[in-house]
Amino acid sequence: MSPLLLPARLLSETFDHFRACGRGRRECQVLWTGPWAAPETITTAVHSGHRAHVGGFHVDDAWLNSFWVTLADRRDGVRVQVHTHPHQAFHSPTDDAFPIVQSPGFLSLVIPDFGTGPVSFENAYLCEITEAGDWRMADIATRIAVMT
Amino acid sequence: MNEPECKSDKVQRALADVEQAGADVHRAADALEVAEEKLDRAEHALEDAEKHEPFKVPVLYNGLEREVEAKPDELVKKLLADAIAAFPSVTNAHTLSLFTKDGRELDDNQTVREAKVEPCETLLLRPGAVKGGA
Repeated sequence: MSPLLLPARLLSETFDHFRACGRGRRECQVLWTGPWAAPETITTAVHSGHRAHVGGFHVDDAWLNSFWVTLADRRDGVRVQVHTHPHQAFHSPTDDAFPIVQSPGFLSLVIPDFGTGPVSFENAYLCEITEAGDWRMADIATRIAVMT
Repeated sequence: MNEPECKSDKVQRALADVEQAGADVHRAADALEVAEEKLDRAEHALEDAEKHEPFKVPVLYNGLEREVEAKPDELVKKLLADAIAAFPSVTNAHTLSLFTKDGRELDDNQTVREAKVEPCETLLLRPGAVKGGA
């Protein structure tokens, strides 16, 4: 499977969102989207509208509805959901049960320490939805290529 | 001497015009009645068609659009199943619902008509909730 191509500036933007929104005290979520015409390419880091606290976040329903329409208007799809955890990065039962996309191959990336650490995948956790609809761990280096 | 002949030519012409106009009014009234019956039948046929005939609705999922057939008398549950089937890559379908563009979630147990789904109305196939937590 070819890796997703992520421009380095989008990784940096993502951490900017985590730090500005979460302020080291709350979880935060960003969605990496790209055109269906080039599904391996990530072109946008979208900061979702959500309510968050130290141990979780909930995407705003009205925001999600509007975002769903915008995606279709732009002919884009969500490729990866990215969110922070307070400490260790892993996929919780809540993360498993309530992703934004329910399709095999869809990726979920978790960043530790509310995203206050280095702008990188250090200690991050990646998993993907399987054909059976459950989650399995995925190797970040082989699934996401950061383009400098 | 007959009465009309006692009247001037001008009056007689006017009388004839009045009789002619009266006949025209009767013909028009008959035609109107026929037209109104036709309109009534057509309106009933339209109402019946709108109540029972299937129609197409575009459904959006993760930026993709598929057309799905909706039947006014069928449950939204069936429309949802058809929408999910239109996106073969979908898993965990039980987490997805249909929403209108203004954010109203369709009730699975209502009919398409009761849910007020209109022909060509764009529907969103999306999760009812998106959340995460450590």
